[in-house]
Amino acid sequence: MKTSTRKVLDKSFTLTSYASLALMCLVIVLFLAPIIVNGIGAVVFRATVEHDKFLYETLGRESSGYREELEKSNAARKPLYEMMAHFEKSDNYGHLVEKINAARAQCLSKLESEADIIFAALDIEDSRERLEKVRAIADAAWSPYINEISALADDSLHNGGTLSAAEILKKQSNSLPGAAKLALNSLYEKKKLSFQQKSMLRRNFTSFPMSALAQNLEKLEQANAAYNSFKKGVAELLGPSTAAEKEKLNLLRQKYGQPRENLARDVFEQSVLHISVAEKDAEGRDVVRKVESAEYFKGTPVEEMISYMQKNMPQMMQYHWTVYLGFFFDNPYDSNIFGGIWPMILGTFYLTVGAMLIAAPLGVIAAIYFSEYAKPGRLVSLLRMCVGTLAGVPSIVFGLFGLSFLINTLRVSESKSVLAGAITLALLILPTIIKASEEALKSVPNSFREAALGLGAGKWKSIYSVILPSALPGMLTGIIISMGRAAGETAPIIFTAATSTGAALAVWEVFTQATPALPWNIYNMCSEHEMADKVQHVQYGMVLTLIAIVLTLNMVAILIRAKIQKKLKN
Amino acid sequence: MNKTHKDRAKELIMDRHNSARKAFMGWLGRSVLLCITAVPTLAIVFILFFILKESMPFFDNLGYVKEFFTSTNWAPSKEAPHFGALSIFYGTAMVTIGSCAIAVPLGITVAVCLSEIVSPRIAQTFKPIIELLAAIPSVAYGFFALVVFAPILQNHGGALISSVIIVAGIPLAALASMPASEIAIGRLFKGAKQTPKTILRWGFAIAFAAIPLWAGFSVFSIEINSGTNALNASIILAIMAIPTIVSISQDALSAVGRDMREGSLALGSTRFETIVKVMLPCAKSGIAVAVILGFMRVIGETMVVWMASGNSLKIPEPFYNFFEPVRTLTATIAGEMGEADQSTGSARYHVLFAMSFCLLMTGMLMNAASQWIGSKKSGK
Repeated sequence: MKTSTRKVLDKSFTLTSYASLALMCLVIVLFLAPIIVNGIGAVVFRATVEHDKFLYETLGRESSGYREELEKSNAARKPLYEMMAHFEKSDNYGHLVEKINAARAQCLSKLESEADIIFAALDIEDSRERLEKVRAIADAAWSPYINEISALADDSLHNGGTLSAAEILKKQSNSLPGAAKLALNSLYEKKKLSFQQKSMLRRNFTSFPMSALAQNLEKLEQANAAYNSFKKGVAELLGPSTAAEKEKLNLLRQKYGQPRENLARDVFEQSVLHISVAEKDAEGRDVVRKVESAEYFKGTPVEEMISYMQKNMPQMMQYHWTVYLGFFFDNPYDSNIFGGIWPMILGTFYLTVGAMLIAAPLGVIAAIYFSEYAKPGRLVSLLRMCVGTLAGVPSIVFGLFGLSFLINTLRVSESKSVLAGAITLALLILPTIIKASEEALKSVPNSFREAALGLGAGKWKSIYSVILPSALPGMLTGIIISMGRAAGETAPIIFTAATSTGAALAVWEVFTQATPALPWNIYNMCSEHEMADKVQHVQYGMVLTLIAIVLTLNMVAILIRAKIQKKLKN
Repeated sequence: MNKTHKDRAKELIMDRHNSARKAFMGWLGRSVLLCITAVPTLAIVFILFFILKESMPFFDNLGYVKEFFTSTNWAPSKEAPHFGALSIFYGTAMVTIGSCAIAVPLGITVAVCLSEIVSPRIAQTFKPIIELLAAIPSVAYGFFALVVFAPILQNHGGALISSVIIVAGIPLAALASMPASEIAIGRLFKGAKQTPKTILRWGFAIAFAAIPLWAGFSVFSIEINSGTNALNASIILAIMAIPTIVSISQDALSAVGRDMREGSLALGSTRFETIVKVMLPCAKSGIAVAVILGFMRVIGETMVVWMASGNSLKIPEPFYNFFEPVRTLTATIAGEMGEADQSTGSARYHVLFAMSFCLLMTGMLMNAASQWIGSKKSGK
């Protein structure tokens, strides 16, 4: 090969390897950046008045300026609620009801007064002519009533009040068949009619206005469904409008509106500015379609509400920056949609410390045996090999082992418990602790041992008064790093300790109770939570908390190690 | 005098008694230590025993066993259950191979760079960064894969992958073209003049560079149906395996004596040649151990594959399609054990233990292999 080619190859290889280092850094940055940014967002964020309302009413914590905010937001919401109330309950339909009822009475009385004409029509020989005639009479008789109904429906569609109009029409369609029947019965008394004639009368004189009613009603119901969809969106955004309404609701997510600005904006966009409308598609199936509400409600009072909301969102929600440290120390409410993650943090703490308390003494003692007592031989190499093998067992297998041995066979607890999880995790981290402690013991210079023995100390005495203290920092490094590992492991605790919901445990409950824990709840929140996209800030917050715990532990370990190295150098 | 004799005798007896007690205590202490040291061994025995015990009811039934390894019909909760786990084994293999294909070259390159190329001071600062990658919990990686990476992959996957191929591929291909053209010239056109040689070199470079360009453009328009797929899981698993590979291969590389390196350099080889022809062959058993341990980390990983692989029970079509969702052994165990009736011991419960038995066996074999390689090295 030419020298120049070799040089180029050498240079470019150097470049490639630098590039791979840069890639590693890039990976770390790309990985940590979204988690840190969004995770901090769980604690520091733009809150709405609903967040403060929740804090005040559920946790009894009054944030500064809460009263003022509440007043302002209530004042901004009042016109909207008034508009809605006005829209829903129109007062000017009282006289319309009377008018409609009068029209109905008139029509029914007309039926009786025109009995002769009807009978005459029924006697017509030709069936088609007869039908036409009867229909014409019914038409003429009912038309004032139908006109009134249509007028009502149209009026309400344009000026609001479809809810009360639909109510009126419903009442009408309930009472109309009875009234019509009465009127027809009086006809039957006047003249004996055949069964066919009777049914013809019934069909034309009752079904005819009924179908007109149903048509108008359907129009109104459709408008109402759209309005209800809009109203639901408003309730999701702002929370229930009155205290009485709030009492009736069970779930916290219904009792309060959106607590965060980004969620509020999302809901406003998704559920208020867009509504879902049920329609029939080309093949007659019911489909739900999302439409723009401004377009859909064009020309009705609802349009005004929408534009009012668009203009006054900040006043209604009272956006403001807040630092919610309670995220770490509050219990979760309503599947983590409100509140914090305290039980998970505490559960992780119990599991980690429990695993450490079990594994650290065992690991340190085993390391002492390996480095101070063991003489090379079959037994020791077998023991050593088993430590290596244990380190290579997949973590999920530890979980299954914990389930079948600790819980189903030994019955350390009824079902999952922190204790079972801690033992499982302890087995998992035991090899790491043994190896690290052994390294630490090996790095103690032999002169220490000899000096201790020479001064007359026994073997055991020299171990615990000379060797252990000087190996302690190294051991601590290993123990702390494996604590970090135990805190982050998920697979071993799925079947032995973790539950997705639950309160924070007291110390004495750890022997019998399962606990929520950060790693498991992170999985649960983003894969199995019913409203996973509503709690994304909680997910990020939990991931950041877990990473912070693990990295802090590692950082401490690295610092200790650095100190040891410095000491060794000196 | 008698008295004193008697006393001395008594003292002597007491002394012997004491030393016997001391010896006994020493023996006792040592046995206790030994017992505690045997805890990992006991744990291994118990794990093997219990996993085997719980999977035995499944392996006893030979009809199931044949189906287990050959069929893809996985319907454990039906009235007449089927336990065909072929697609699950395939998914495991696919994700493992995919992540190793990314992690092994990258990990070894980083290790070489840290131990041979950059100054020790920089290597020292990088060590905590690599350790940081290793320390991050797997569920955090899984979360990243599911919540951050999967949507990106689903929406801009084609563009992303093609740009990676083009950006990384063209320089690498141009590099590879150099020795290739040298070899070709050396073999075929020994006596040719300078100009045709130059033309040939450029031709090689262009031809080689065209390959990643073509690959990149053909991938560009690809549609990815689901962001949670084999590729996503492979990439994230590779990131998790890299620290293991880096730190162990770095140790292996630094264990190679200075004499080898300096001898090679003194003979006039470049750093690149020294690394490829001397350092890597010398450290090959250590690097093999690193690869095996990285492989083990990948195959035993649960949360990432559970969250990122898509959990689909189909073998992708075509079989190398990394954009399809797959399912792995660990994800199946984690996902279905919650539903399987844990105490009554249904067939579904036992089949999951049979799966974990397969995992355990693979892990132990790998571990034995790595220890064997390691011991061979130290024996040499």
